[in-house]
Amino acid sequence: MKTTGMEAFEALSGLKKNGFIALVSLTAEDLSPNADGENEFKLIYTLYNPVNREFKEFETTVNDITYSVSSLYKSANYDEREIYDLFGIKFKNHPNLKRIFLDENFKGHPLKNSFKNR
Amino acid sequence: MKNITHNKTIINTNINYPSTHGILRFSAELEGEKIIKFAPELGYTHRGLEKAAQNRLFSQYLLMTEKIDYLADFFYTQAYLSATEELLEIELPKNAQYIRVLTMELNRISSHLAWLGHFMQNLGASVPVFYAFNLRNEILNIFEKITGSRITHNYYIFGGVRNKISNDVLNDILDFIKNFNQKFKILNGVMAENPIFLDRTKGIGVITTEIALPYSITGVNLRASGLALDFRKEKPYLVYDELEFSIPTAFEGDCHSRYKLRMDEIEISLNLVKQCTEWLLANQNGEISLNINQAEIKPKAGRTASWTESPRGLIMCHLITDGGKKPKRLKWRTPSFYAVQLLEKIAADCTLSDLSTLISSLDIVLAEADR
Repeated sequence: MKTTGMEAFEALSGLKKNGFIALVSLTAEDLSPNADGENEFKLIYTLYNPVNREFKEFETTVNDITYSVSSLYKSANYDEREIYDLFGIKFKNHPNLKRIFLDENFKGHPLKNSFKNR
Repeated sequence: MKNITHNKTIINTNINYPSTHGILRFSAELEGEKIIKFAPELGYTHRGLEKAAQNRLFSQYLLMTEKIDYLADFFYTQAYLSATEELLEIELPKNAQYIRVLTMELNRISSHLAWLGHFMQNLGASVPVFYAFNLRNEILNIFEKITGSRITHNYYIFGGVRNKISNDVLNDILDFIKNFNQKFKILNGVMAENPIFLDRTKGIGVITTEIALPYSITGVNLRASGLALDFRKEKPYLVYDELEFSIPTAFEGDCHSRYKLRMDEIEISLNLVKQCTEWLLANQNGEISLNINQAEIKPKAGRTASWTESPRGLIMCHLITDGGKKPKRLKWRTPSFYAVQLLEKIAADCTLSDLSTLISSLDIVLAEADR
């Protein structure tokens, strides 16, 4: 299944309007290769609404590229850089998408299924 | 006086503050003494702990969880065990739960004391660190009696804890609590009303709830801005719902209120330790472990996340398993990671001389941020 990531961005901005103003955690899981032999990842957003004291998990599957939510949640900036670094998922409209932990010259993305352990 | 233009200066540095337990590299753009842009850089102590989990048995990885943050190792082990134990579908014996809370709260005190010493060192006061570390030493002595080691303890196991706490040690803990307040008063007296200390911390590095929430700040740093969010109350784990304690908050959100809150938390943790010790003295015959074969841990396939309140904020351990002997994916949410990111925002408002106060008041441990 092909996704652009725009649906997820819109769903998250809807959730933010409903009071989920904090992104507690953002993480990814590699599901690739999918049925069509393409890269597929699951992104898991954990959100918090301080007024109702409510937590919510939001899941979405993406291919290699999706939209950044750093304009909605400030903390997503580093989270997305981490996911880019370790999984190689690119985030459109991210203000500073570069590796966060590993060296700039490092080849590959270590948490990808296709990464070969040395 | 018109048209005064300051020259911009850019500082690129690797500062080794005592309080960050690692080297913080940043580049700061200065206008006079004022910082106008602050860009920290992570990754200098990255150990690939999430990748390492995928190549290790569940019991092998248990030891690595302690190395994420050596000042608060019990919390990371608990976060990892709690996620695994949920997928194993086991419930811990009551005694094991009380022992875990007891050791974690002692750990919280020792972590806050270490923070206090380093915070004062960062401000240039070299005496309080000795008082703080003397007190912390007493807790490490207790840990040594319980677990056999002083810093990374390897004490929690799947389904409980490794060994019982003897009556002598429980009485030692009660003695420690009794004598603590007097010693703590001397330590606190060194700075509580010291005008230089107040000048350097009051009104510096203010974080409001409006800033803290979007930056995903948790723990003391968030509670100092007025929101009483503590995951021991919010999502109670172990026996926290059976214990009595309150959540102190402050409203100023500056460095001084963060200092005060940590001091208040020490007192609350002491009370929790006391409650646990008394419970354990009254219930000595319970099981402390489920006697699971530690090498054969094989949780069912699934996904879970555990929530633990550490001295620095919320720790989350996302665990995804496929029914095998090794985790399929393990993700750590560490509070310092977000505190470093917050620096980009709030350091850009303060002067270079306040930077060390600000960084250490957030209680950043870089080993934890880098994983």
